[in-house]
Amino acid sequence: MEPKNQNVQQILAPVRRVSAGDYLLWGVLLALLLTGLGAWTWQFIEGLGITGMNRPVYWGVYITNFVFFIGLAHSGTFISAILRIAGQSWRAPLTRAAEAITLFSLPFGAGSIIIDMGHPERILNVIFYGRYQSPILWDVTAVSLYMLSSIIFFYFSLIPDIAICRDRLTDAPRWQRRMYQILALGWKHHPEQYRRLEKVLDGMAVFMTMLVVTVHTVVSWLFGMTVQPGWHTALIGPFFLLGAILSGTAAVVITLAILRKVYHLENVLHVGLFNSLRKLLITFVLGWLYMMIAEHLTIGYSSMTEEMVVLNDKFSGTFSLIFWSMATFVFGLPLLIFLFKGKNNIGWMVFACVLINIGMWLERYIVIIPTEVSPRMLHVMGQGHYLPQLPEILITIACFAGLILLYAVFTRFFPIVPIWETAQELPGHAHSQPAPAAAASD
Amino acid sequence: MNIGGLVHAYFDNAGPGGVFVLLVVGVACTTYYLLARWFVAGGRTESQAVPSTDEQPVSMDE
Repeated sequence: MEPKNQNVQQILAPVRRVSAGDYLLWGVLLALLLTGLGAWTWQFIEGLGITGMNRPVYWGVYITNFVFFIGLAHSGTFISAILRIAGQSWRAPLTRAAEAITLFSLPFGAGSIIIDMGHPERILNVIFYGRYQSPILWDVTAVSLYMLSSIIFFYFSLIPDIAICRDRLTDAPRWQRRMYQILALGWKHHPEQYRRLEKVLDGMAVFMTMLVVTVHTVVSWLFGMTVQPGWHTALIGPFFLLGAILSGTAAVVITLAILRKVYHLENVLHVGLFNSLRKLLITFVLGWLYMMIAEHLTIGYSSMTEEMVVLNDKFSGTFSLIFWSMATFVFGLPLLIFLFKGKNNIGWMVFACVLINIGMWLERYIVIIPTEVSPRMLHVMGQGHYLPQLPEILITIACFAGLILLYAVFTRFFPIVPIWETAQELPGHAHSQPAPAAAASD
Repeated sequence: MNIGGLVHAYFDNAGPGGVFVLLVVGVACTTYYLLARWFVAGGRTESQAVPSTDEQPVSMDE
């Protein structure tokens, strides 16, 4: 017996048909993705010399993208795992939308590292000759495990809904029905299956929470374990982590608003959900500001020569426009919007969240480039300069297009709102979710 | 036993650190596979032993 969910038809509606508009969108995104692939091929043939990277700026936009996408990937784990442990039942309708961001942004995060290597086969050097004293190997371990665990966590919670698709979408093309049949693993909606699945997901949620903290801390240690100005600080781990959760949660708001509008899911993705996310975002924005002040005040107060070169560059030098834009986009404007305009207003919420994500990308950029331009051994390395070149810009656009493409295709073949997790009654036991409208308060 | 020395030696020696990565990922794959088998199999024996009309799982695979 299937879970009883009064919104099942509404949730399955986007899966029932692929419109001409979908094909058009997919085509445009695919074209952008292929353009990026072309740029990567160009870079592969010509070498990294065609990028803006040079001596001593060895990390540029690719590493910015790496940190940004890995940060974006924290949305799913935060919404699904951390709020699951905290017993926040209002999160149920938005778990899959958030987890899908994790799933589809991780490949572009990890892929950015490979793109940055110039030759992808160099990744094998890490496997064959890697030494565990290198933070790069810690990173490879953490990101690999996170990627695998995210896919599994996502898939496990998807299985009952795939079974519903298998049973209900009998008019779907043959290959699609076959796909559901294979992926459902013979799921029969038995009460014991649900009980066990809940147990597994609860256990995995704890593990995923540990992983999410580990992953972004380890990503930050790629920077922190060097002795470069601006990076060599114990605060960099929590600073990166909080920034990641902030940008991830903001991405969830944007995605939910689009899904709600395009797929007419107003009843399922209730405005109360956005109000709950708004409260979380206010907390994260303030937390991020606290970390920002703690970081820069500590560095500025020390007045150490190498540190001050980078700090001055950010505050009033070459990078001041980017730095202050970032502060305005991540903190200033969003906080005002959340406090005075965001309540019950999805449009303003989305606007603020777009600003946050632009700001967080700039923040990743501003963490990396000023330090690279003015490294600690400035007298030996020389003053650097960096401006992203065409291949880097095309590949960056391709990464974003690829993420959107994967997401858009997914929503047409699988329910983006979990049917069983939002069901009023599960088979065999009185597991019931409060209606989102009632649970999400403000 | 000099545990500190062992840990130090592990981190300080050249070698295939990738083995550790593959080991971690391999153990995770095995664990997830076993977990999936366990929860998908849930209720199989129970339903065979005590058939009930209202909760009898109905295969709609075909």
